Amino acid sequence: MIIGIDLGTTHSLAAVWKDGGPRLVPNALGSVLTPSCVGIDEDGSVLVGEAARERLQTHPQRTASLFKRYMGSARTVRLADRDYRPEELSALVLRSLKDDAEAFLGQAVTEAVITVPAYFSDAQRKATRVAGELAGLKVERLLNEPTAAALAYGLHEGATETQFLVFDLGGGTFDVSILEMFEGVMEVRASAGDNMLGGEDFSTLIVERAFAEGIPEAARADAVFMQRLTARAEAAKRELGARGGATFDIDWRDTRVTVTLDADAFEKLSQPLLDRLWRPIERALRDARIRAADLDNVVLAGGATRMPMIRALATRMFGRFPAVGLNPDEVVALGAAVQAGLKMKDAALNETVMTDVCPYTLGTDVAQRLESGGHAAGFYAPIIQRNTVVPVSRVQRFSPISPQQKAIRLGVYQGESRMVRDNILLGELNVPIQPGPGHADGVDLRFTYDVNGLLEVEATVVATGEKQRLVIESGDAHMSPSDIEARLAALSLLKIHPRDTLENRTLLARAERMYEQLLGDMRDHVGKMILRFEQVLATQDARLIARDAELFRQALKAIEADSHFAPDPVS
Amino acid sequence: MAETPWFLRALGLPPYADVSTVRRAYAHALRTIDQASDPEGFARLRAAYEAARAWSDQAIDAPPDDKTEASDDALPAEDADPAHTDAIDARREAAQLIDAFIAQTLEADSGQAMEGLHRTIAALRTRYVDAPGEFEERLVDLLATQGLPHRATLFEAAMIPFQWSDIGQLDALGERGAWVGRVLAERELWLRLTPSWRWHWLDLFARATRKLDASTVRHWPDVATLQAHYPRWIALHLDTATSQAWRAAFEAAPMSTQAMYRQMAAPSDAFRVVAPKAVRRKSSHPWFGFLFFMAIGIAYNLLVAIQHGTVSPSSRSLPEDTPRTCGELHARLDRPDALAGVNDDDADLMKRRGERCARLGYWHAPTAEDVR
Repeated sequence: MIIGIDLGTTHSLAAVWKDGGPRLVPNALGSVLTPSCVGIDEDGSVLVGEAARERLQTHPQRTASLFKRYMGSARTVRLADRDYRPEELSALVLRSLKDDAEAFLGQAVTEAVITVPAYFSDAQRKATRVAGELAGLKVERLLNEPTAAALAYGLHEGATETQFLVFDLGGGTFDVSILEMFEGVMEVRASAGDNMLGGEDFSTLIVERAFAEGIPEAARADAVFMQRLTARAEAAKRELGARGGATFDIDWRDTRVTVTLDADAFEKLSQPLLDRLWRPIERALRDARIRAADLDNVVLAGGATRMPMIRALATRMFGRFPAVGLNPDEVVALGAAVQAGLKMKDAALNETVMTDVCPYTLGTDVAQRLESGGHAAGFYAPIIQRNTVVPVSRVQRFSPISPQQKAIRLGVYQGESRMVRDNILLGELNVPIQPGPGHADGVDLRFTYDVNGLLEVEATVVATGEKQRLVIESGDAHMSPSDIEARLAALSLLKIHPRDTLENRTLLARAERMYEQLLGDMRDHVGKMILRFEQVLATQDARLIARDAELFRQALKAIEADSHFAPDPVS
Repeated sequence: MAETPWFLRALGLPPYADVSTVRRAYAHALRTIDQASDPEGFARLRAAYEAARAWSDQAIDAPPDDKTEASDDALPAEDADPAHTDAIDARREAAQLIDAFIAQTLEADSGQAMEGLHRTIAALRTRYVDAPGEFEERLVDLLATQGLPHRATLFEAAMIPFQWSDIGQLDALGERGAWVGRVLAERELWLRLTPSWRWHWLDLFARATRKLDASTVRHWPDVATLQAHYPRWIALHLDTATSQAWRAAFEAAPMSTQAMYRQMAAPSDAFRVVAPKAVRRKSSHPWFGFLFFMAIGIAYNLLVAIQHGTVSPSSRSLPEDTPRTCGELHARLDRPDALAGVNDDDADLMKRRGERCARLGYWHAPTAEDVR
């Protein structure tokens, strides 16, 4: 069985292809959205999802979130007594989704289609694949998020011939893809994006607003406070969307500020971020050689597209209302399940086939001959142009500058600039060649880019036929097979919080978070409820626990509705 | 009788096929190929399909491009879709903005022209998504056909917002992009001439544009040489009309005077691009390692016609960023006034650093840990 997973910056979802359609998988709490948060409980067991999200505020040193933003980098996060790589944290989320899917399906799950932002780099894609391996999942396919959204949308619409644009603004990344559908073929024409723009950035604006209103800069070092403020900002952002205005109080030590925002002020504040949405869209349209007016539809994906100002902007940009119908939080996961169905050759899908593109240009660096007789280096020679349909393999011949040359150094770059200094160096090859006039043929350089978006580079010396392969190691972020094995062993020693009691654990985490935020009588009241619930849990009487959990939940909900707390994002 | 082209044969089609037949054949063949496990088979099919599409698109004479404009103008009255009506308004507004920019620029000084360009781009970005691209095409046409004054200033000002440093962007612009690419290549070489000579010549162009007199006419030989080396770049600074008048004035002088003026022309060194000193030197500077490799079979057609060269490798290379400096940069760029009072070079540098940080995955708001 193959499952589809949307591994998001803020939330992750799993979906399966079942009974001729994509189905979302509920987690242990009955929700389809699992927050991408990982925490270590006091007893050393791992908490994933809502429970960890609640603990972000009470135990910031033992909880991590937003780690998708560090995928492919060497950055680690320290939780409790150990450092975790972003791959490992993602693996813990994946494993939790895998467990949910196994419970849902009643059968073992060993393979997955995992979605990644279209504009994810080679290193980020490799890290995602490693995360899958660490979670015990064979990654059948890395699927671009906007492509997944398009698959779900295309299937949903059932249109035969159409051109549309997917506008995917997630928690941490922005992607645009333009697709053409004909005869059951879903063809991605162009993708563009911004890896550093997402819904989280809009929340950060509100956080910054609180500092502008008078919270001292020193408060930034207070992790507990920062998590509390971030949660308030999150809630305010959602309230702005729902009601057009939001107000909240926040205090740090002796300072108390009130942050008030209306829709206009928030839009003004967001202007620099909104401006950054234009370029990838202009570029994708350009690359696909079509005008916005030629699009039949605009599909929104990603939770951040719920923001009314984003919808208004998209409407203005394209001169039409975006398509509604599919939930933007869920559409990527549904598409991943469609791809899983395609992989399993499900009969209901035998008419559908999809092709994707490489979103960025890949190439090497070359020297230019000067009129005066010398050479100037550092020019970019593209080998695979951006938006080439994948899988693709291209070869080009490079010859030495001088006949005495003993080696050719070939850099492998990703980027769009004419000069390599502005592009990203992915790796390099040093190919020894025979000096002498008979060997001026040089080297054939082959770039192969597969359906998962992973690059392989091979150099062949023309004279001898000797081959050399490049293993792309993006600095220290690269994990060798032995590293992966070691990390896998280390992860398997971690105790995962049992799924069946996760719901109760989440309730407790939520109550603890509220306890920290409340004052006076309310606080005592919550404290007593926590104590009582812990005693009930200790009885291990399933019936009693179930009854009490329900009462506990109702009571917490009532308190939360009563006071100005961050409302539960899922409800 | 003509033979069936290879691409139609590969798709199993007879020697005649329209677009939809080609697509249907491709769609059918695509289902029989597993893209992941048979990349060669897919590559063959794809090559055949792309060739067949190009062939069948060409075979059809109907100009599909005019369709959209025509249908927009002939909007049925009963179409009350507010978004659509807005779109028509947005398009009209965008066209007005562009016209206003052109009208103002004809009267403006170069500072005002540049400011007007930035203002117009910003304003178009609040309209609809095709508008900046339409402006870009119009601007390139005006620059290339000398339809505007202050062309060099406008060209420089347009480079960043329109991302002309980006190869793909120029490719997508077609003929216009090829022109921009050639101008960029000439500009790069021009910037490597000795600055005092450049200033001298620019001053000369400005004076000649105002008035041609003996003090400017005698420099025509320099201008002729520059035009031969940097035709498009010089055309941005100097109107064709002025240049023709200049030449005529020079040629009207007696031959002996012309010969004297020729002798007084700038030395040939002044026109020579300074090659980076590091060529062929094993230097500790990491950029020079690149000299090891190889120029090649792919034509850098941007640079082919003229002398080849590159900007000095040491100029404006990006400083190394750590996750921490990336975080700080992010925080800075996210502030609305991030670029206030920053000069263009620094802004560009920040932008490039930002993009690189993002590609490296070092992109996040500074955490408490970073701040400490």
